[in-house]
Amino acid sequence: MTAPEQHLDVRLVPAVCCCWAVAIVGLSTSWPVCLAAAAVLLAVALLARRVDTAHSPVHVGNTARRGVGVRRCGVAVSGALLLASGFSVSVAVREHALAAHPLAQLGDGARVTVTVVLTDDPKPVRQRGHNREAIVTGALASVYHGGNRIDGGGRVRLLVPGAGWLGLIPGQRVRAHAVLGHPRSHDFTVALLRVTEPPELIGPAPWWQRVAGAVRHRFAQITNRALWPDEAGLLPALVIGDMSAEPDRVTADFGAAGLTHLTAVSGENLSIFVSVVERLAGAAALGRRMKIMAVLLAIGTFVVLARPSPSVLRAAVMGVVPMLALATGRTRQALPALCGAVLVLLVLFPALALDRGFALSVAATAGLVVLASDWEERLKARRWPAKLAEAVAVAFAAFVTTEPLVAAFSGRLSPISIVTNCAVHITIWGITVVGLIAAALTWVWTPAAVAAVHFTALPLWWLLFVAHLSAKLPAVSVPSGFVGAVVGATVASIGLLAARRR
Amino acid sequence: MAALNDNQPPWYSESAPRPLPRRAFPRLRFDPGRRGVAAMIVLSISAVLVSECMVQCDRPEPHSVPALPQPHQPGGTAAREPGGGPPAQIARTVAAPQELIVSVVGLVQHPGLVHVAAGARVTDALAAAGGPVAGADLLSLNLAQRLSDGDQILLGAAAAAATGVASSVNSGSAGGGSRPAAPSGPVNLNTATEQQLDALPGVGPATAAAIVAWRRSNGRFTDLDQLREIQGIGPAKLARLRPLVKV
Repeated sequence: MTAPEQHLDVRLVPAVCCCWAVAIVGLSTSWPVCLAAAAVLLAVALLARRVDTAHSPVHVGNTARRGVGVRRCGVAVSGALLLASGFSVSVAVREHALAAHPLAQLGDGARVTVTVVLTDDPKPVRQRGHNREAIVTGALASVYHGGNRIDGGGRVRLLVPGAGWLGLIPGQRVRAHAVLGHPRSHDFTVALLRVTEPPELIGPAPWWQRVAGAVRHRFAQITNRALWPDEAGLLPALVIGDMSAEPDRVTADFGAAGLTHLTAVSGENLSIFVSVVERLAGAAALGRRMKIMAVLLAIGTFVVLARPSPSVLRAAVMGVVPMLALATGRTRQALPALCGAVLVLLVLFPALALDRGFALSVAATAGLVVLASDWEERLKARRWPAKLAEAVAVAFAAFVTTEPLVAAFSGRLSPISIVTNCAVHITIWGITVVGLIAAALTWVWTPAAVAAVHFTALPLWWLLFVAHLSAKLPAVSVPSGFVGAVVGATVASIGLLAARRR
Repeated sequence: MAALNDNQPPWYSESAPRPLPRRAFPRLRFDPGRRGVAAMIVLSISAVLVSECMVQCDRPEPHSVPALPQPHQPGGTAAREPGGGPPAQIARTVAAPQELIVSVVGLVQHPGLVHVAAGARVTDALAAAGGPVAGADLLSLNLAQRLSDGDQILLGAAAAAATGVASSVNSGSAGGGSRPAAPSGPVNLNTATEQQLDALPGVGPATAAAIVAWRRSNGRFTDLDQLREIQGIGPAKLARLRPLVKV
């Protein structure tokens, strides 16, 4: 006798898994393989349908009380495979367009002049003596080669020197001479262009990008004035994802402590921001429509401030969709909402299937949606303080779902990350909220912004202290890749079973 | 028994008897039903359509253009129709004005300035000048060579080809044509020989051969910046060559 809320709605999960697997296979191989996979999936799906209709001539809509049967499996499997088959065709379409691109046929080492519209900040890669090299992605506007011009056509990645490039903002149109190279990663970039000289700027960037760039710059200045160097580099990274000032030592510490997800712009920042705005709107007794407008405006402002790069957009979707589902009380629709969001993102940007950050955020959000609220209530039932229960439940749920992936990617297994995440959980809310207030006040009333930043000094110090301490602790190192994933999954499931037993 | 949820008043959780926790593993609902499968079919078809749309929006369009955009260039002529397929097979346009003025001197019927169409060759200029007179040396002349504006064709005597005045084509404002010597003005990238290119400072035999190879596969140079596409010519070298070459 279980109420409907007891059900976990996993109807879309097989479809998401199949589509993700198809995307990984499709991106790593070529488009004929995708088409073949689509045909195979379609055939198996039709077979599964036949199994289903063979076993039950009358198909009744499901109720909560039906048990698991072959025919249910057949329907679920056939639906998932049909979706995966169509998805495979769509990936094949894109792969074919990529393979047929004129730049792909120009060959390695060809010297071209490109006009590119940047889509992200240049990120420093490594230091060669006095020259910092940086990597930046852009949308190709035109390519000149041998007296011909090719207009449009896809994303490119540029390997650029620091001089003249590091200060550019997204949306800036530049022209540069480059040497063509094969794209090294499977993410639908057409080419890797190597540039050795400063770019020629064509026109200014769009006004909203310039405003966002100015706000970020000013916020970084204010934090530099108000805080110690380490904290000053960390605050913009935590609040709006501006990692340009973050010291390398802090980045390494955070990575070792399992806290990197804090500085990567994630749905967590956005969901905190949105919930604060929502509460303010509620406190100001705004009507429902005005509340929705305020939330949308807040989301738009955040996306512009944190740079509307694809990673920020997917983080926004990842954070907002389940949060809305949870906040409006429709807990049992949170997981289908997450699955739907993942499917839409995969259709629009299939390259996300190979993106580690995306995989981690999906895993963390899935853990949050499926496990965390359950455990939080169990802990509260045992008279744990509410905030502590929430912190522990969230940290543990995220650990269980992301540790196999982290072990596979980085070869490090650190169960201590649960403790570090709990220890800093309470401070993150405060830092993010106060930091966002300070960012909002940056141009409006600078002294107030500086004062707000001072308030974050102590929580930031605590955060750095915890990160530094846990980075010093030894972590188990496992071979990365598949073996690491298995080991991580084993550890996570041991933890899961132990938690359930309590 | 109903599970605890957020709508309960705070005192409820403190004093009410604690309900049993939920099942160890929640019941899974994974059957989408016929409607679910139909929805998935619709979603999969729309995924294909969306991909196709995005690919079409981002489709590269090859054009052939007169020249790279430079502030001092005159407004380019309209680009030709874009051709399909790889850019190497697309026809080139010529940027120069429609007509060339060429000086034909020596053993021709009507020596002087002749107007020929853009893209004309030496033979066309000779015909416009009335053709060679008897005894003119045509052996030293490449009759198929394309002309550029301001060239001079000197037609010498055949008997004196070995020792005296031989025919030659000098480009631009080069000095007297008594010898097929290297012109003292800027080297025309489109008509210079490999030796003349090699003679440029900073350009060796390999780079000269690369320039000639580029010319052969891509046609005329229309802009000095196209030299950047040659292996071995970087920004510094181009800056050094700029006063010494022309197109």
